[in-house]
Amino acid sequence: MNWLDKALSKIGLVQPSPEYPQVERRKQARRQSDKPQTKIKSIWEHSLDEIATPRPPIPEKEKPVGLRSPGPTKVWYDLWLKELIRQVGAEETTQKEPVDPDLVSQSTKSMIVTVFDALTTLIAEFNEAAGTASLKVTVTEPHKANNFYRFRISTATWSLTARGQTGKIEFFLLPASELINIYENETSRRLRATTHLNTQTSPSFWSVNGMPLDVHESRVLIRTLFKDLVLRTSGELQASFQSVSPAVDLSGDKMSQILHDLAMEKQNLVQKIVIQQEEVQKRIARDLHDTVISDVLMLKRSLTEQSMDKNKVIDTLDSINEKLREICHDLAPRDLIDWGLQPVIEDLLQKVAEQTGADCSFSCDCQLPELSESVQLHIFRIIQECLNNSVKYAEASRIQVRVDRVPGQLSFIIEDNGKGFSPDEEKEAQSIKEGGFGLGGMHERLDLIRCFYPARLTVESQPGAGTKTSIVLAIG
Amino acid sequence: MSEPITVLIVEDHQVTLDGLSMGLSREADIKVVGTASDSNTGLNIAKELRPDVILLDLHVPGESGPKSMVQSFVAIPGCRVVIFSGESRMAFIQVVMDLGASGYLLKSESVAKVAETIRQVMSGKRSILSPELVVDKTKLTKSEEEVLRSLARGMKYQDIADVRKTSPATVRKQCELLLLKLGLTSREELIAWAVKKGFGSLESEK
Repeated sequence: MNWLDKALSKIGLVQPSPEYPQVERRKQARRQSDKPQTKIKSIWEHSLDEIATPRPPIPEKEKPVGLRSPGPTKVWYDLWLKELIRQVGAEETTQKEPVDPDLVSQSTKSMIVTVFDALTTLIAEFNEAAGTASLKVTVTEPHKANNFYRFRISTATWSLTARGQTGKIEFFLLPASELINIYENETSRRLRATTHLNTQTSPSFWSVNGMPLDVHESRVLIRTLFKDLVLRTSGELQASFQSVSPAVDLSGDKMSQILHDLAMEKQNLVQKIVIQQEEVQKRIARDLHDTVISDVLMLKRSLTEQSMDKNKVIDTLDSINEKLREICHDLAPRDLIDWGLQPVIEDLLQKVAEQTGADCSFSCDCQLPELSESVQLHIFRIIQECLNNSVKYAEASRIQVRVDRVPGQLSFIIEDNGKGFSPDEEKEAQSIKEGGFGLGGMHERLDLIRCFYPARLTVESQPGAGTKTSIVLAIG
Repeated sequence: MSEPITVLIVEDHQVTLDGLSMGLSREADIKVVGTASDSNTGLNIAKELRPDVILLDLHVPGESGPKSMVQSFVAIPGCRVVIFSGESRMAFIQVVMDLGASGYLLKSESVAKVAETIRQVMSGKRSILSPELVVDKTKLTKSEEEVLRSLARGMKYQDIADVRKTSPATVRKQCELLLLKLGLTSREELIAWAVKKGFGSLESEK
């Protein structure tokens, strides 16, 4: 791949990063001349000195290959400067104090962010160098997931993932398809590098294989990771090019662009699935925390008190049972599989009637065709979302769900006589944390239904004139 | 004295199974002829022994879901199926009753109530529900109240459908659910009940 080699060489990745002899020499010189050496400085302070002191400009030709491009260097140093200033804290002490775990977590978090920023800068650089045949990546910004702080940088076929947890950060390189079961697939085979926060000395520092991670080491580490990602991806692309039928004209940018885009689409979908998985986990945690955990604590309190009201305890247990069941049911609606779509919608509507006191009715005079489990689930979820909106916003007195079937078409219509909404209100609702009216999610589900049948989703609503949502499937 | 009523119990919760089995055996006119803790075994025993009544837990383990399981049991000639379950949601109970079950009892019922239901089923009564499920006027949904008002005023299904902008079939289905909920058996009874409870009077409209 000519374009790839060119781009890699432009940012100095083709040759192994050399030791930087010129830099080392300058370091030595400064050390001897400027500062009286009364105490041994920590690694970080060395590096701080080095960065803080303005360097004489080096003619382009003399600079080692890795340092030639001015862009990343400056960004690198700025980022590292921020991190280093944070790290260098108290005076050096001889006695070992236990390091505050909060600080360790914070340091882990900010290290992850710093590495992420450095990598994204590198990518931008690379793509600028690569021009029209740029490497397309999707990034998932640093965020908390379970007990880890994570980020992901993915090409169409491979993904560089980082996960950090109290003083340890691991970097993995996974095939994109394995992102779905990310925890299972982050194995030692996929592990590329680990860095530990060494808290034995004060101030503490990050290290790789026991060697402290100073600015230069970190650059090497990060560039190596990125290079791995790029080379794996290009290897995969080569393979996929070769596997396409020889009858197709593979030469030319157009074909390569199409293949890139397809691979990218696949990547996007995988990303979406992973993000949604994490969303679900967060929601479970939140639901459990908000409802069940506080009840359990209250129970404990009642039971440890002298005067225990037995009935109250039983009532609370019942309520916990009920809530847990609701959470489970919401996650994996077995009812759809056990009973089918009709009774489940019926039951949902009955619940809505109880909640709102509105006149809710379900009309299904036809025989529902055999639908696959996933299509049933998606239809159910869309209807559930519509009804949630009715309950939350519409203030309707009449809500109706109707299923109509004519030859060639199956329609689900959810209608209420409530407040309705305007497109502006919808945009406004989007910005509210709960995701607004969930219309985006509904359309995503419709896309999934479209994998099986041609389908259409329309939402008609006017302020004061109610809301009507229709799902129409083309079925024989 | 006539032959005792033969009963097959299909229940996977051992304690419940033991309790029912022992409790029912103490009844003079009831004889427990078999027990099973999964649906396949239950079906085999039922086909072989042809008990008068099958007491069936909806959620016993089996190859198929509850719907097809109930269908299989109901299809056995000469057997009446009484469902015994923790499921209390009307939407699903209605499905089960539509499939042909003769009775539906919640698991919170006493053995005495179970025995009584078995006797009622044998005497020809159908659509028996646990008293807990049977509602009075206060537990109806708004939608049902509307329908009852229309019925009490003598409106036909078609008329009600026109007013509510649905179809006659939907109205009929709603009335069937009402029959189930109220423990009634025919449309006439439903209308009579509605009138009796004051749905036809002008005062009931707020």
